Amino acid sequence: MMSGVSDALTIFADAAFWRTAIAIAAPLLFAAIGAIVCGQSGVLSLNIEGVVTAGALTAWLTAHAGKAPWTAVAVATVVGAVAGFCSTALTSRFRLPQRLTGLAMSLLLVALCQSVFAVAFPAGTHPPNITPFAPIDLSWVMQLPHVSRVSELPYLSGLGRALFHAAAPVYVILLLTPVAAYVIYRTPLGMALRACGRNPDAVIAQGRSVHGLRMGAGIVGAALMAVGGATLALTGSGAFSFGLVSGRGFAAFMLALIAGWRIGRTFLAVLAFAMIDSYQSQLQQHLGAPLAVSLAPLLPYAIAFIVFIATSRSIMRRLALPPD
Amino acid sequence: MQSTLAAAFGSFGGIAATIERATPLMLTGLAVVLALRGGFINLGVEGQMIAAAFAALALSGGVVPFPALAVAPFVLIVGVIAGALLAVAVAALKVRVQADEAIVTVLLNVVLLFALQLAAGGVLQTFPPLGSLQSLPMANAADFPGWGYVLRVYLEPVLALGACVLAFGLLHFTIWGLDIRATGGNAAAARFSGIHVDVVTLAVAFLSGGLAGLAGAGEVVRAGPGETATVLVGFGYAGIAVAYLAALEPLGVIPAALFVAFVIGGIDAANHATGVPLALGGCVNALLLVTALIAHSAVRYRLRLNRPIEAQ
Repeated sequence: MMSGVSDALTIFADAAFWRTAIAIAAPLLFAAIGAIVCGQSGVLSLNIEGVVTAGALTAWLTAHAGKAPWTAVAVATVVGAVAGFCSTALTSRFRLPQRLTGLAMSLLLVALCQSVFAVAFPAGTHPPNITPFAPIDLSWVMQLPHVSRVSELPYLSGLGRALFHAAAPVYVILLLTPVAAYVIYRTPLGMALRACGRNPDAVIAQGRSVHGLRMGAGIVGAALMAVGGATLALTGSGAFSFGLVSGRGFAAFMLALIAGWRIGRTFLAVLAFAMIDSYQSQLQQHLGAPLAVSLAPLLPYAIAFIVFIATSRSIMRRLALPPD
Repeated sequence: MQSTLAAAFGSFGGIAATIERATPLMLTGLAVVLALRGGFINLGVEGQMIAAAFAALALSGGVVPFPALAVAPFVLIVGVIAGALLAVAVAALKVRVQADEAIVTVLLNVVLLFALQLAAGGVLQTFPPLGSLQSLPMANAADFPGWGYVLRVYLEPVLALGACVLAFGLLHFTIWGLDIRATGGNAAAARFSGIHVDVVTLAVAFLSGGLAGLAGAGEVVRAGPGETATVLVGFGYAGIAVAYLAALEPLGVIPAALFVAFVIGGIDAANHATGVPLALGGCVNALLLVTALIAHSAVRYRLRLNRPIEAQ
């Protein structure tokens, strides 16, 4: 049993805490960056929950069929891109209201996934576990001369042991985050994309196609969300359930929105969300889950929602979300 | 198809079952219609139902010191108030800080559904505590003696039909209805013409959330023995499909809800007969919503088939 503040802090020194936090953060970050790519171009990606679910299920089913994890990720990417094409075509080309269409796509994809899963594994049969991504051992980094001094600091050793012994998608998203930031903020393409969201008339005046840019953003964004789903399915225990995904897509959307579609802030928001989530689950394992703690998993969602409400004035003023 | 039709409308019991299934859909559909006509995009009917059901569940099981027969109406009223307050809170955010009510309500749905799942886990003390909704029993019939049957067969259908007719009258034959339609049509123009747009938004949210709350608390009161929290899930989102199938007209909600109930009933029957997954109902609902959205915007933008212009 734990007592006192110092004991509550020991969780942070634990590698298990950081391992859980990283496992939570990586899929969310993929999905959130997908939402940012869409959001910056004026596509409101409420289809995120469905796309993440579809990505998770198709990746899991591909791996279950005996294919390598990377093949599973590729399949999920394609599925996500197709889903993104469909919903962006409906909203951008056919001018359907974004919020309702996005939600409808989420509902459709989730229900479709549940149907497929129910057909593949009828009630009563126990779906087997797949082989997830094996963690890559980079712990030699911690032995490097200067790094070792830092990594021996009290709370950082747990982080180091978790971070340098993680699955491949974690390193991919750590590389992708700065790349995405560079593309969005420092390239002509990113400039055009952001103009699409802020001032579409300026894009038209430049002779570019708003519709084309939004289609591209919708497709790439949805592909990223689906990779997030695939990460969720392929880095955990290898078991699949819809409880794995439920709400994580919308959570990523909420975090990206709180951050005002900015990548650095989204990274921090996702990290905070994952740390709270990981902390409460570690705490439960220490305390043995009394009834009072059983609502604790709600904590990260509730905190994110309260922050979202509290900041919505400035968010709305800054973003000027597309009207329906 | 024929057997589905026969199952749904072929016998008295079949018709009763279809109407029973259609009733909460009518309430949630009407909730969405009223909100959307008033320019309040209430996608949170699902969450408002869950909130009302939480309130109803908290009050069931002999907590309220009323005579047994009086508990059910009290619980229903509390549910209505809970749903309405939740919607009004979101509307207040929209009015005060220009929050996007569609996004807020969708995210609120997620949080509330998660809370419901956790409550389901907490009841059984499972670990990790993410419970299946099937493990959270609704209040048992002993909590509301006799009310489940009365509500299911007489009271709720009558209330739902009455609400649709009243809403039709409200929207089309009163000044308030004109205010609501004007606000939903063009809020800026409505404000300019002297309509208190903020008040209309709050009022519409109150009505919409109240209907959702009635549906949610109703599900608790009418639940038979062995029914679980799964009965709460899906009506709110199906209500959006119903609303658009009804072309956002209150009277259209009645046939639209019956149609969706018929489809869901058919899938239910097919599930019993051939093991078709129940989730197919959600697929059909979502497809109906997309189709109806396309039809709605085709009407709105006056899309016509592109015929070649004849030589003049």
